[in-house]
Amino acid sequence: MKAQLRITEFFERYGLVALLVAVIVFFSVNSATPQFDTVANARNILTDQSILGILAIATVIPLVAGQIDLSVGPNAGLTSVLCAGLMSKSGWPLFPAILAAIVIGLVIGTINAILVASVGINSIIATLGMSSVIGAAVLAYSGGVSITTGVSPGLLRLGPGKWLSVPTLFYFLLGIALVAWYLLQKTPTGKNLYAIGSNPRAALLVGIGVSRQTFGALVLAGGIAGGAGVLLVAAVGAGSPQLGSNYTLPAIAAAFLGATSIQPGRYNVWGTITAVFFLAISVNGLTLWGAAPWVSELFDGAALIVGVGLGVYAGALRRRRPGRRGTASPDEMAAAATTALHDAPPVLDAPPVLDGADHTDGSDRRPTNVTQNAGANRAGP
Amino acid sequence: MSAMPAGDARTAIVVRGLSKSFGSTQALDGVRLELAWGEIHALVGGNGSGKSTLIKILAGVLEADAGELTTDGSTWNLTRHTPAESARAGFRFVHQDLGIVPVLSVGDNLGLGGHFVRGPLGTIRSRRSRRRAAEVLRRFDLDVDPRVTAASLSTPQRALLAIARALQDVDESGRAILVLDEPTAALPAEEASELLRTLRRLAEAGHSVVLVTHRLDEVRRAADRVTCIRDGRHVGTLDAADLSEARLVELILGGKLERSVTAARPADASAAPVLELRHVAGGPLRDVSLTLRPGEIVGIAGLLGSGRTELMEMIYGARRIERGDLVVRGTAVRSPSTSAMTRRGIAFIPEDRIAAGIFPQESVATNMTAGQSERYFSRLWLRTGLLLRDVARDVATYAVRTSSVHLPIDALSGGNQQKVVLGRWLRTSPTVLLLDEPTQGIDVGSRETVLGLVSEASRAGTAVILVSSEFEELTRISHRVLVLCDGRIVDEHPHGMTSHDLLESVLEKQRATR
Repeated sequence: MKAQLRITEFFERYGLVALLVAVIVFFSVNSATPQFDTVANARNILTDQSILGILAIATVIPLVAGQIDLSVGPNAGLTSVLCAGLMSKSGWPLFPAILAAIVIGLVIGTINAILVASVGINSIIATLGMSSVIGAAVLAYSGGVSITTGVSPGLLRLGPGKWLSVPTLFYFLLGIALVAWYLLQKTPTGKNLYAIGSNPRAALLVGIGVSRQTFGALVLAGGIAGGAGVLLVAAVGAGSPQLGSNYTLPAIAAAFLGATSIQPGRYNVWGTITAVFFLAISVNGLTLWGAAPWVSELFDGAALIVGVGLGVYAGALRRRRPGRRGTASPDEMAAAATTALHDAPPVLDAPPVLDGADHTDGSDRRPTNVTQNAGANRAGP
Repeated sequence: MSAMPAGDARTAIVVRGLSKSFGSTQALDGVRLELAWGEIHALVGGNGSGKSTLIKILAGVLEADAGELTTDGSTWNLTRHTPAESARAGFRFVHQDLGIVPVLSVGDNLGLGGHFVRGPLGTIRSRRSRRRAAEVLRRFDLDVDPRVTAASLSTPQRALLAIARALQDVDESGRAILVLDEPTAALPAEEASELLRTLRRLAEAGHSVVLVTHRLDEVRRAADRVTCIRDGRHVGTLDAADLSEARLVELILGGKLERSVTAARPADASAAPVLELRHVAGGPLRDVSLTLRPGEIVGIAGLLGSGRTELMEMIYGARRIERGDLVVRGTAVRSPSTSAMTRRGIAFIPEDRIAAGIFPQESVATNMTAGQSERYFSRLWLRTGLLLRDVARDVATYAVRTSSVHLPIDALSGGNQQKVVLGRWLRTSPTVLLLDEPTQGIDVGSRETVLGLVSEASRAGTAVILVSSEFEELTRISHRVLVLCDGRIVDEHPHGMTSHDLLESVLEKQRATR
């Protein structure tokens, strides 16, 4: 029984990693995909996925605090066009252009933060609206045309560049991942963000500055997206107005799928990175095998649904088994809306709590009073 | 009724040999339960005794390992019980949180769960549904318009609405087994009595009422018979009239209870105050002034709606103070935030533990140190090992019963959750500890532990404000009790008055202001 639990836990933790390895092995030995296990292909994947990886990390940070930022992709798209455009159209040197891109990223993050943390608008709505506004700004600035000339050659060399035969961009991903991991796991700020994501009202009542920390998380996501925009210029070799919004869904899919792995039930950095490469390598192998181009979108969409679904399933499992570490579902967003409906029928319809503890005091129930709680969450200073 | 099995003609159901285990934990072990028509049957037991599991099995949301249920002529196998079967066997349930959706109308609340009148396409026929709702409300003596929102009902009215909803599909001549899980936990004494009178009427109408409760005075006052469960075993079923409260406590705990926690030595009246409120107003509070000195326990007695929770939230910075001054250790605090107040040594334990006190899916260790990570952050690194060592020590200090500090807190019983929440603050040695109903919904044993910890903290110099509906607690451990009524402090009693006198005094003040 004990040993069995440990095996289950191991698979929960490293299942996605195992799957990633399995996919790599499969396509390496598959005689129909001889191009798969080549150095060139590996480099391509690492280069291509580095920017997505960085944007997925930018998504994870506010997600930990219970806020979703849908605008990181468009944000990176805008800053990439702006960075290229400032050099090409306005003749700026490289470093001011990079700085301007990051500042614009931070500004967008700050606007999101004001809307969500200060005004109290639902983050899905605020950042979805922001995405559209950013899209308009990109078109207005670029006229819908890629900016290919006048970009600093130093930046252009970075894209295909290598260090120790590994693409340079991948080191940027590793660096940002390390910093984000440190922030989330090894600082009080990270612990506070997880607390806010778990129960914002309780977080407020233990003295955590909920709005301030949420604000910071969204600003940081914007800043990282701004930096990713600069790297996007390097990777593509141009400021392309079409790219930004393509990253929205894959980044979120990776963050949600990543929450099923490494630290199951929590949005976490290494799980997210694993998810990014699992998705990319699967799609790459299938494409080499002759799959149609739409397989990529199919995978991202399925990953998002499977990621959230596994979270729900793991949450139910966790409630059923006593004495295991948290594998909560990353479905807190939907929970508030459904609570009202689930609490309604007059029978004892609580999710079966099979942990043997006495829950007479209703500890297995979510608060009924959804509207009042939602209001209360904002009652703080 | 000819199909009734042998035995008392009043027997409603008999449950025999009910067992259930979770892994290595035996939650229920051969439990029997016998209910009669026309009685109020109290089901008592400590946190973790297994009574919740019992109820979930009866409701069909949990499957038993063994056991059967006999009703009028039918036998049901409890290892394969479903919610639908439970309803057919005559069970109806009212959960502790009542399950009322405040934003919906009273009529819609009744209609939820398949009780709307439907048109041919499954659409809700509003007018007929409303008429049906009005009829149900009339049957249960609930004098409200089905169109008003449930949020506008008083708490006892909401409880009645939940009961009406549970019983609405039972014919007027029919009878059901109505199970209520701690329906009075959130109600102050007067409202609780009103609800108990309603339950008595239902029993007189022939229903069988099962009351799960931690309030022992209630058991003796309202119930006809009592079944006690301890450690998953049936301890006994007795007539409530023959039981003293001490005997009841003995049954629940399996031993005598030491009601040893009392107020510490009187606080030093000359010490500089740690907290002063001067004419504070805002929300339901009109004018509150009070002075709190180190080591003092000040009880606040007030009925629901008196502004007691709001007062605590204002002191802690979770609610805006509109007028008046808040002075902490001689410094006036303007528009405080919760984080600023925490830094000043103010600690707050909210009434609603589930919604506002705990981080449900996080571990005991995370819950105990929530908001305190800075203490373990040194040389740019969170010292998790140090944190876990401290938590392991404090879990013992605050008598939390858990097999591991890594266990998610919602796997613990309510009493143990509350000890974690209390321990979280006590380990910071706060200057002022604000407690809003700290013993609500926890068993008598845990209650004494919690009160003991509070009393100990006050001896160490922490000043305490205690809000409680349990007047026995207030009079026992407070140095003085303030009566809050209609947003004002209207009376003050020194230590030594009986809980009965306090209740009388509060009710009198309440009547005087109305």
